Amino acid sequence: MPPRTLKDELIEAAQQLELEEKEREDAALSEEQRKTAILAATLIDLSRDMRRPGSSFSEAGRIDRLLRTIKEG
Amino acid sequence: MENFRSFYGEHTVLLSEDDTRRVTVIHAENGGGKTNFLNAIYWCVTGRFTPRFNQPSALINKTAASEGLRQCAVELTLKTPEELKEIQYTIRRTAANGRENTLSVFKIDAGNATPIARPDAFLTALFPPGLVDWFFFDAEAIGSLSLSGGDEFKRDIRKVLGFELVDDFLLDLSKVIVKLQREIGTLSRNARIKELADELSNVQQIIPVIENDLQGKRQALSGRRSEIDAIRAQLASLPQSKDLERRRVATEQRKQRLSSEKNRIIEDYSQLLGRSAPAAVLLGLVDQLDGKLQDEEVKGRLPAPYSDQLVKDILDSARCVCGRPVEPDSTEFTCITDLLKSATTTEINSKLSDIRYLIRTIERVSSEYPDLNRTAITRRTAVETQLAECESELRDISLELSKINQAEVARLEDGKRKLDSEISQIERSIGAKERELEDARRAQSALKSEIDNATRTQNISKSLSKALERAKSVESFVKEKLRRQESQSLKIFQIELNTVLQRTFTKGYRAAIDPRDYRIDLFDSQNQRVPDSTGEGQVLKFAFVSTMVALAAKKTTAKVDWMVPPTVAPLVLDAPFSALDKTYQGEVAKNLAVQTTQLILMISSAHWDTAVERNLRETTGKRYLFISNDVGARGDKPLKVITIANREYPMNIYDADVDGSSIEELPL
Repeated sequence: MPPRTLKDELIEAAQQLELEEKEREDAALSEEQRKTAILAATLIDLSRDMRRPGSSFSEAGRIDRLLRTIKEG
Repeated sequence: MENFRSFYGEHTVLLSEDDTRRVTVIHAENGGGKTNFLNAIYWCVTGRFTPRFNQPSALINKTAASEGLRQCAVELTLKTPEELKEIQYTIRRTAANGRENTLSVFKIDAGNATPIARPDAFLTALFPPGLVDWFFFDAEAIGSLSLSGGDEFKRDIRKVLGFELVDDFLLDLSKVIVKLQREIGTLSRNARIKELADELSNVQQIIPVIENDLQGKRQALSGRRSEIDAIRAQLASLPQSKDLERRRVATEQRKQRLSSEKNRIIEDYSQLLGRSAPAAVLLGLVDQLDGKLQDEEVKGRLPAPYSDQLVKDILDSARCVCGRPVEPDSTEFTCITDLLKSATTTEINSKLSDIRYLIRTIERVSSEYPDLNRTAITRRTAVETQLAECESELRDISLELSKINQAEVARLEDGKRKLDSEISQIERSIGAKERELEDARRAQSALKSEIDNATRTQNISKSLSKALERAKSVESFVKEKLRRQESQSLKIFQIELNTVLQRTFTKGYRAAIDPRDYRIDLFDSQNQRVPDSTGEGQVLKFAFVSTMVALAAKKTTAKVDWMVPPTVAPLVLDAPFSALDKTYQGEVAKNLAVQTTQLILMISSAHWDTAVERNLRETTGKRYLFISNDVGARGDKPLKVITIANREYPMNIYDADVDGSSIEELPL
């Protein structure tokens, strides 16, 4: 087996970092937190779409839309 | 392109969209149209030109103009992912003599072309002004690209990586929360909550205004500094002024070092004060305390003539030191037992010892303070004197430069002085604006806290309470995830950047990113910082750009699960290798090709060598040649030829129909 190079070590470090982050995220999420995560993703996508150029949403319209989504849960 | 600059008539260039062969190579000699092509794209997208673009007002091709044509145009077709599919846009910008340039953008969806209402805003969102220079640039630009970090640099990177969009969302969400709190205030008839919510809403409106203002000032500052750099470069090149300019550079570097030293001295002095001031203040009290330990309440106990152990020994042995028996419950027993009240104990002795040690420490520290203070002041005075000398020397140099009997030098120096003055003013106003922003943020925090406290005690409807709780949970969740993603992406960035450098360099260089201001430094195997201006420093810049693109496009080994997809744009590079050491060109070309999603490279024959060709062979999807056309006869003029894949192609033509550039697609 060829000796490990610095490149191998760097790749391994990157993969380990990604894995640790994923494990930390998964382990940390309770049911309530999972719901929060889903709601957060929905709201972020909504905010992004409303801010797209050519969008007809004003700031007030954006806030109202987000508020409605939060109230609906 | 239609009659744009050196391109007479209509020319269409299809750029490679192949995922595995994502490089479009354009071969052209100097003057062959590379910079015009780069600027065709740059201008179409931004309405501006790169710094090296000469005569930006003369866009219409000369031959076309002589034929009476009064307009030129550039049209760019691009695809961008939207709502899980790819949408095509066509951007068309025209320039006409004596009339405003026009811009139109169309969205092409299922064969239907829909005009975009605000094309400028659309393009600004797609290619944010601070970012476009990262993706479309020429060799000189890579030279001036600075990795020294700072607020603007950090903001640009965060924009590319999509973090700014998350910030925008959090801003929207904070306004949603205020709105909910206002509703609660209204429904619970609590005027105070409503009042606080209104106040918070006002502050939230003001903060982005201040931030924009601050950004504008920082950009103005950056612009002025670039102008000064340009002036200094010119002064350094003129025979009459270059020596003086060199002296000025050396003096300013010395001034910079002295300023850093002064800051360190000030910091050390603050620490000295922190350590010594309490001791100096307490010294007077300590004298009194020491005195009190000798008498008053500790008289008879400190130092007590006997310890509790002696008393216990007497009681245990039932015999006094004088020899008389001490029977339990006898008068002698009671008297001896009473002595315990005034005996010294091990704990008391230990505490006494501690107190005395503290007193001695306070005395020692406060006695050392005058000398340390004198030394610190002497050091600071010495540095300040040297700084003043530097200032004086710089003023003398400026005066000498302005006296040089050469109009150009005097003009440049005068220009520099004006810019220096403007920079001072801008820096002062930035300081004031930063303080204003800090105050506004503090006020925002305080108001949020006050509203939270007031809301907690209210009787509010369950649904409103749940909505508020949800909003705050999302806010905390997103803030924490953003913080982690930012940290994670920097770590991945650093690992990936070092992987690229490790492939390029034979020696052990490594890069380090400062998470505070995103400053990137390169260190050699001796852990010495490598300057930007070296060949290795230039490689770092290329590696930085390509790694950033790769990180955004999820082409790195470790990937970030972005909350908002980052900006992924093609790289369009004009003569990128002219500023790069030949040793590194091949590997840099390969890294660029592998890490980007689409790469358009414009290269002259001087930089098209074996290493570059070999490293791009597998990833090149389209190849073009820009040919210089000259209507004149060849005469003694040279005929330039480029060899690609063992075939020769002429790069210039004489006796042509029109002057300018023509485009030929070449086989791969």
